[in-house]
Amino acid sequence: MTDTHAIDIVSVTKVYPHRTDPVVALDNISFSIGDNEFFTLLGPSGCGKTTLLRMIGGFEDITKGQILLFGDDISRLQSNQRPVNTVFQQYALFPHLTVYENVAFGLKRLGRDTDFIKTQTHAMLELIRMAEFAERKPSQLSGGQQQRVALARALAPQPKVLLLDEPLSALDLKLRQAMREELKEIQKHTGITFIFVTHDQEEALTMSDRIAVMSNGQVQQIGSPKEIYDNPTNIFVANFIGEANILKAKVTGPEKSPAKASKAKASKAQAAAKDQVKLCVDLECGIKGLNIFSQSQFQKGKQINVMIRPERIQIKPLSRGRGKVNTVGGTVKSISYLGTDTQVQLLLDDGESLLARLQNTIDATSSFGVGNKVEITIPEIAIRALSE
Amino acid sequence: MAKTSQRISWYPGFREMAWLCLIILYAPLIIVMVYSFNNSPSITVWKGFSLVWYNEVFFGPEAGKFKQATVNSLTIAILAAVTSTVIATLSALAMIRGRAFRGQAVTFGLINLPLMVPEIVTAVATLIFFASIGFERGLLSILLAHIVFCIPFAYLPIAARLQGISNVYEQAARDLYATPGQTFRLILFPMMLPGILSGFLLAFIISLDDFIITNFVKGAGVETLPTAIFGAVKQGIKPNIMAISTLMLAASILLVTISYLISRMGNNRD
Repeated sequence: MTDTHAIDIVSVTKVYPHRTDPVVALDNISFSIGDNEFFTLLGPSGCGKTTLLRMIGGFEDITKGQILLFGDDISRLQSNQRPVNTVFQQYALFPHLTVYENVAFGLKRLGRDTDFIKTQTHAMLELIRMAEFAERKPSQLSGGQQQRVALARALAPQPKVLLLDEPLSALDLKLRQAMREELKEIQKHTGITFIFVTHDQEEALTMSDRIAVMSNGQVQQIGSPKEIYDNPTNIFVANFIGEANILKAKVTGPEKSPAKASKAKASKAQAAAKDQVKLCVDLECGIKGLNIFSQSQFQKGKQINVMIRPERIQIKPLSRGRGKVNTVGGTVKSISYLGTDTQVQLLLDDGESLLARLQNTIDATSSFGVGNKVEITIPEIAIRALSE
Repeated sequence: MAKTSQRISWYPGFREMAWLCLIILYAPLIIVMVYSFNNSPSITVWKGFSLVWYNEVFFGPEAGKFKQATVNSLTIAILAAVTSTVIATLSALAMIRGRAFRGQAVTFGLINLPLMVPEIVTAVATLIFFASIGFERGLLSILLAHIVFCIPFAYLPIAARLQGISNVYEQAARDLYATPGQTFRLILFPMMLPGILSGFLLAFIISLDDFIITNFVKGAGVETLPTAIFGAVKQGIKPNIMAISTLMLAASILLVTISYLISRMGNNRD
């Protein structure tokens, strides 16, 4: 990723007009996408991610604002005048043309010379390992093969930016996972900026350099997969990416000097969360005096929401030891075996529910069952304060 | 589906009803076909197989009249089918791919109105119209009338086809640097082609077959095949009429079969 911007979204608004209640699909959003970046627009259906992608491609009018491509305003250009190409959700391969003709279509329209078209088309077919299918019609291909042809067709004219509109959603799980690798590989190999739309958070986390989480026509957070997963800014992002436990807490002041033992760990976590401040809070479930990370400063005495990921919670059978830091009591409500890990529903002694995930490592033996009393440890470095 | 639904022949009376319908529909046609090969001028008594009436059609005393009528019919049918298909294709594009416009539903009704107006009404109205503007009746008046009533027949299969084509193909073509013209020529038109061809064939057959309107708007001495046959029958049914009818039936079956095969080919392709 360099400092050059491939795409700049400048105060873009999209309103679908309607006599009584016009729908605001995008509400004054602005951000930039870097050159060579694998950038993902992630959000639930109706959040505006596809509308934004279609605007970049030139299939939707922009109500207000501008879209720049390497600094040039492309907002008013027709889609055939924009040096960006799209991989459509339904692939949209031309059914009456062969695979070769489909892939060569864009190059022919650009008026490239015959030799170049031939070489480039064959190179693309090689890239997606479909050279031997060149003379087939799209209807003679499997879903995964059609997907790859759609990708090759969009890449062949060497666009400056490639737009991908949920391209994997029609594939089955195994194929989808294989295609993720392949897409990532192709993106690195070609160096083209990819803008990828999906509602699948796993897809977004595994493939992207950066993710923009969207909802209700607004960008909720932009960051690397790790930033977004570890430091979600609000409840929406915390819940949409992975699973999250949201707990109530009360701010008691700025950071208290941490205990010696946790100092080393804390400073490591600090590196991952640069723009963050530390707060001291009391959790409502009874753990007091926790130093946690927050992206915004809160007044002393304020009620806030904090988040902890289920896999960062530790559970032990009830014991009578000393020095139990950050620990509360609770009861196991249910246990679900999920293969790689086990999901445990807990009921804290104060009545709050908590979800934990324990990895099924080789020496993991379930030392507790449903109904057992357990000790639940919530490590403070894994807790994040959420903004409103 | 075959497993859950009952075999239809189990319903009481189904077999009898089906045979009755088939006989009423097709027995007259079969009689005409069989007796066109009769070696006798009788239209009721079978005297053995012969091609004498086909010979009469092509080389008999009335051959010239029927030949001219056939040429007229085919010329009108081809021209009317081509013109109405072009008009129907353009209207389908405007109705389905164009921006929504005021009165779209009314326009759809207007396009299909000729299907619902009784043909005799159209025939009288067309005749009065031509007479009132002083338009000379002849081949051209027949052609114009045919173009008008062929449009809805051509429109229906074309519109149905176009409705089944998602506009994502056009978007993909535009995305791959095709101009609007190229998008139509290279993508939409080839994808619409099965519908256009079956619309064309339907219009062709409807035109070839038309009697009522043609009879009203044709000038004196100008005959198409149906009006010529009607004229001949008025002087008594001779087996050569059966031979001509059999030939027309064969031509129609051929065209309908081609139309069916084309539309099936189109559906299989995507």
